[in-house]
Amino acid sequence: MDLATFLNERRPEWRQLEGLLEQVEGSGLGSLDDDQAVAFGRLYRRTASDLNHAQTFINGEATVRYLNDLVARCYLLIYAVPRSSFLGVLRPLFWNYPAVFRRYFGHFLLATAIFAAGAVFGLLASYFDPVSRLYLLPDMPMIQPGDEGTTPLQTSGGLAENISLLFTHNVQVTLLAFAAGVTFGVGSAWLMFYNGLILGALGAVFLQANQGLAFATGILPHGVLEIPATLLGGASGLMLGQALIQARPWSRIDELIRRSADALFLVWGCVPLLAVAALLEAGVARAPDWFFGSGFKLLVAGVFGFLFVTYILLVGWGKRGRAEGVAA
Amino acid sequence: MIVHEVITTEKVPLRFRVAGINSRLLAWLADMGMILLFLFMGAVVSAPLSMGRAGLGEALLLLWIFGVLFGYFLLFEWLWHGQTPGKRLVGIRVINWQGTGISFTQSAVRNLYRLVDGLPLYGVAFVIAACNRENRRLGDLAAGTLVVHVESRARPVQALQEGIPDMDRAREALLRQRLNQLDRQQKQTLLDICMRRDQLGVGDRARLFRAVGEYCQTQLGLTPQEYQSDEKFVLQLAAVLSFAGRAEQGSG
Repeated sequence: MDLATFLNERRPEWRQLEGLLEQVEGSGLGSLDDDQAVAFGRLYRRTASDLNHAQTFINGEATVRYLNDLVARCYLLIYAVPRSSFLGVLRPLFWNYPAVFRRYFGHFLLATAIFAAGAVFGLLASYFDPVSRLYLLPDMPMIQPGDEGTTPLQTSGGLAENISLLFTHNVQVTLLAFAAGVTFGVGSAWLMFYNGLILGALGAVFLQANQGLAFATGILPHGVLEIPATLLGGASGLMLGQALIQARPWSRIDELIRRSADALFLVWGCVPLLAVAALLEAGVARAPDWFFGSGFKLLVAGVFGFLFVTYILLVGWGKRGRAEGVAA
Repeated sequence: MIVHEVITTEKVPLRFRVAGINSRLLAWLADMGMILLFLFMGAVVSAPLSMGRAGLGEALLLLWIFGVLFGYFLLFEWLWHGQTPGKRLVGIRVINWQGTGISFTQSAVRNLYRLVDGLPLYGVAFVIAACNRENRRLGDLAAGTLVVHVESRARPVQALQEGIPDMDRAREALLRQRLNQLDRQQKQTLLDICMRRDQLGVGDRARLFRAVGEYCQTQLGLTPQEYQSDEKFVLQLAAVLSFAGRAEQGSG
């Protein structure tokens, strides 16, 4: 078939496909009625075959390029992953999450170990060498343990501001720990160690002032959720690191792609955890002692810690522990 | 131009033109403008709120900033089939390595990696994108995506005239004989100009057709017919040329 005949015979269908394509790009595949949907599929296949024909037999780059762009735009839409609703994304997330968590529990333990090592190091350094606090806690050199009892109750507006600040900051730190995994895990490990270090150094400050209880009540109510959330970030980063180090028999990139989906799924869990943790930190842990007693604060810590562990241990047995199927 | 070729499920080879660092930077700048606009809107809305109750406006603003910074790229690329407003402006799109649209997970992975890619002024992204053929940054590698150029709307090819337009057989034979002096590349260019004539601006169109017409007059020794414009002349040549293919095929 020569070019002129080819163009004249086939062009009306291409124009028809263009029209349908513009409708689909604007308002989605669902906006086609039955006849249009059938026509769209048929026109797409015929145009794809025209492209094949043009690539082989037809002179002129313009035709091939036009058909190529047309088919590419259709291909993108026809073979897209079906998009589920918001709830459709959340429900499997809730039921599948503990299974994924347990599957990668080793990474979580490793992150915990690094964090604990940092904490012990920070505690010892800060306890026996108070000068080191200048370097370990550069932002808070003036912490005076013991003045919590007299601070006034915050206004509700100030409380809300604190909650937002804590939540957004903590999520950023956690996501950074995830993304830092591409440095073969070194970045994530360092972030875990550093976070432990700060916690330990801060603990030493309170211990020396004989304020261990104040430290516990100030940290634990939100820490029971916040520390696991941070460790989740570290664990997912270590997963990426492992994928890069132990990629064989696949290439590092392929293994990274495969593992990124699971790691991302794991780190997602930090968002609800940190949201609750921010509420607890601003509302309970930082509340003055005359408002919430130490006993109440520790009780809150116990309840939320128990809930978290129960969720992780009891929900989702029988799931495969993969991120697949949720990726919509 | 770097081309990424995929084979569709229909076994048709599709070619994507890979977007370079320049166009991606341009799209990114446009997106940054949009993000600043969103942040400014948030600030304007939250200001009166914090007058009512101290701290409340700041709380909402913080959440809004966080949501915009993380959600802008993620949600737009998920919902707009791999495009953000900036990418749409520049005419580029994120696609799956296999040529299909990207999923939510892919969008999330490639945009969370911005935390690493963007570290020293997107230095990591620049170095890694410069080190692979398809200019993929770290997030693209991890998500299995790449950025390509796409036409936002179709630029249809014009039909050539059907049948030999009115001219006597002697002229047709002359044109055919002279046109055979052109090599394959030149013939293709001649046809392409005619088919894509509607995609050109008025000035460019006139200039291009005049140049081609003059080339044919001087190199091939052809003359336009009476009252025939350059464009009509070239179109006539293209018509003869596109039918010459049949004669060759028939004889071969």
